[in-house]
Amino acid sequence: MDAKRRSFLKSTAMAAACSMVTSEAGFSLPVLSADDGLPDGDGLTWNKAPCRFCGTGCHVQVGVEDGRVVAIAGDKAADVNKGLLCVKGYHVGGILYGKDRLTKPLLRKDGKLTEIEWDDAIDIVAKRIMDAPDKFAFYGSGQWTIPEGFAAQKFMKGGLGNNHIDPNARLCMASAVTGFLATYGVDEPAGCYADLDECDVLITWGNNPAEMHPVLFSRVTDRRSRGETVRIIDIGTRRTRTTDAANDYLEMQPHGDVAISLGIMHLLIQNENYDKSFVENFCNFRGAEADTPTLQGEAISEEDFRKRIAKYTPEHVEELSGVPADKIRMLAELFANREIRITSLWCMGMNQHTMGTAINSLVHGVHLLSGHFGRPGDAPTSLTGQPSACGTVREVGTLAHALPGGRVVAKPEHRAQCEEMWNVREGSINPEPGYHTVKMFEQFTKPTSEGGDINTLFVQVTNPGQTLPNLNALFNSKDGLEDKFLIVSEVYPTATTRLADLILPAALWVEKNGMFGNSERRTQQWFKMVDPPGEARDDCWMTIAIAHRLFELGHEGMKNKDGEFIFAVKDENGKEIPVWEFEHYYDTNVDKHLFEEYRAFTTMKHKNLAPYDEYVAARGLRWPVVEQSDGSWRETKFRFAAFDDPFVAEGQEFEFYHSSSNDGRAQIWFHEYAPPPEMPDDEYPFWLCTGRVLEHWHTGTMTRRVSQLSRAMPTSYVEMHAEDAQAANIRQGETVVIESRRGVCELPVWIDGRGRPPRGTIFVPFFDETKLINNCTLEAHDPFSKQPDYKKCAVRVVKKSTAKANATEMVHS
Amino acid sequence: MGCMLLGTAIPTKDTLFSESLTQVPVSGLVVTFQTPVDQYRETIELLRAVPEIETGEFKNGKLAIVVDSETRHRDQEIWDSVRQMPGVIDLAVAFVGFDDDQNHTRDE
Repeated sequence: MDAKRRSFLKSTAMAAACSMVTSEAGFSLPVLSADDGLPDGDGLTWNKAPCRFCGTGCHVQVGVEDGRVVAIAGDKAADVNKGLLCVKGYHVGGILYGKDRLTKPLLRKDGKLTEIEWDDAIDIVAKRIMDAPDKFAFYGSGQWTIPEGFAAQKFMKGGLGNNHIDPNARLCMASAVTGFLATYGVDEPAGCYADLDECDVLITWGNNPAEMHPVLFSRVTDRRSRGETVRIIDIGTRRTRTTDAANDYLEMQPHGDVAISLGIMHLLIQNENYDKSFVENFCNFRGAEADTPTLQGEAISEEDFRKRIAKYTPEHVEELSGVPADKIRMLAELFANREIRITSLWCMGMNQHTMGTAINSLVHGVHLLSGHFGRPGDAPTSLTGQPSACGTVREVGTLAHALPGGRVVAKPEHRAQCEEMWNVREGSINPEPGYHTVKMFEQFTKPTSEGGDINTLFVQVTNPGQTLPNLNALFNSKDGLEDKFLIVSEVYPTATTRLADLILPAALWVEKNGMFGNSERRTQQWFKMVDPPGEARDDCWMTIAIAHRLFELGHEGMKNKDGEFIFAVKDENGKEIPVWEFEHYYDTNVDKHLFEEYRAFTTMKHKNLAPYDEYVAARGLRWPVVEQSDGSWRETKFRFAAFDDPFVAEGQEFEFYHSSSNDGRAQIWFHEYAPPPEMPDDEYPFWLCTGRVLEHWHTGTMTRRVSQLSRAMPTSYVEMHAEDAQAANIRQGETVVIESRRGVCELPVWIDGRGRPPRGTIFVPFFDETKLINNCTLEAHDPFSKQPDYKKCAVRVVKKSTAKANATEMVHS
Repeated sequence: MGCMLLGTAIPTKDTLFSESLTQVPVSGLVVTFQTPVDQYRETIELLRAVPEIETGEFKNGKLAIVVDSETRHRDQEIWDSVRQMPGVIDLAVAFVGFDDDQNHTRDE
């Protein structure tokens, strides 16, 4: 052991811990405090930006000196984080400076990547699209900025008449979207982070905010250190750091959440202690159609709801979920008590679920039925994992079926509205929804001769080669795909660029202008602060440059009704600025032009945004943002509640003004419990759950290049129960092979590690591109959201020596 | 679609820290007390009596500690015992640094 190094680690650990203790800002875990005072001068300047990582939307102050980011501090003016950051946010500046940044376009020629000029790269992309516009697909991201997503959306749906555009958010929060739509008729949470400051009980449903949204979780745990009582109830399939802070841990079997929510509602009904007034005035009951279930479902009576839910007794729920009946009663009693305030939090656990829409709707239903809705602290709240999953995906509508402003391609009146606002020809927008993510990659990796009708795929700001489920089916290289062409815009080499035919080097975070929308409906803005390295360029510019090349090639869709380029930007004298030429891209603020165009869409579903300059001045504003009589702009914390939402009709206490039943009411759904699509058996006896860790963000592309974070969590691993390990003669740290019906992954074992799965369950984080656990996961998905379930499939754990022997035996036989 | 690997410096187990899950982290933790730390002098003395624990600053109900143990089993024991000490309502992690050699596996 190197004593000097260990001593260094100890001093670093103490400094980090002390900085949390001495922070004045009021949060606790696990955050590092901002430096006091941010001195300008000597070439150092500071400017605001939202953090590049998760959906919390913390603001940082970015210190720039000599064209380089040299310091990061929490932004004390930011309401979200009040000057504090988690360990990832503290190191966010380092993501720009990995040694292997991509700096030149690279084209694969004869199997080898070769540097080419940008002009040639844009030409190649445009010609492939021109040759077969309907076989082109665009795969984007909840890390797209709002203007980037809007440009991609307009290019595809308004310009090419092609709806094969979908974001990676399909993999992380599509079920939240369908859950909100099914319940309220409109997407995104009614409450906001202030609920965490007011709740008496916090229930985490398959959620680990202590690691995934640590600044938010700190808002709750810190209240305890101030002497407040906040009861945390963790419902999960494994113990996590959130469990460590919880008062109650309810360990459920996979899909147990569905049974638990039904069990709570059953007891509220049976005991007649649900909120009758709230339900009578503001809710309807809903069930799935028998033949062809839809997201709208069909109206059912309260009596019918009672009959359907009657079988979900605490004892039956215990059988289905593994949670003791008395704990189900405890939850129901809490919800029956309207003297307290209850906030539910969830994220991937409920979204990456083959019953994702159902469980989202059911948890909303628990809150509606019990009346724990619409008061500060009483809120069903889903969190997002990406910084602009809400802003860019859900609001701009970059999903394959959607249009900006809550419109959908399937409705003629919606298409007409968008065509009018984009000033494109009538009929430009295709009425058929495009391919969702799983389907898109199925069609891309299927040979053309077998019906694989996507032949050119452009990936921006995401890493599907690591994040898609069942990678062997949906991504990994196959024979017979020589006519397919994969274009990847990236900042670093990744699991996706390994298979790319053309790599476009991208600008990252504060190397470009941007806007994000976080989990609490907060729209945020930042300016470019440093130049990207080499020839790396903005993703938004790439889209506009490709569009303009198509315009030059004569593609009619790239012209508006007046014959002008669809992304034309003009100066104050009406002269067009050639923003498709990168040297002129920053002659104007393209983000501002695109945002102002997009903003006009946002009033159509009461998600009103303020003018761009209001966001320049603010640390984000929560929509709807409505202009006041004095010319100021007011944000909204709590939607649908008269005390705060300006769109609730006068005289109403609550109004769900986008109700799918057109009567101002929300829907309380009944769904039958169904088991997961793949369950452990004799051959594959373990549940596999995948997820994230505190130190790394998603696929680790950025955080694994920050040495402090890499050192803290250097490699992926498999968490395993000690008794399971002992039974299989597996030792701590031993490398084992995880095998599913779809693929394998080798990992070291961490017995009773940070997370503690129960017997029969293992957990693997997906951040490590050298250990692709998504070779094993299942692509089965929710029927409405099309979101795959990464949280449960069947695997076996095999000692590496045994796996090798088996492989040898197979070869010889 | 091509299939060649891009020959650049993607971090691997060789370029990052090597397989270190067998090793024991040095961790910086924050102990949160129900009420101000002054009322929990006995607990702080208990913490100081643990040889693997080093205590740091305390303020507003929070105490910084560093844990440096020799085995993962011991690390877990310390974590569990700290959580159960009088007045402790939360134990949070500020920093985890992993050791880089193989001499911490003797309890396996």
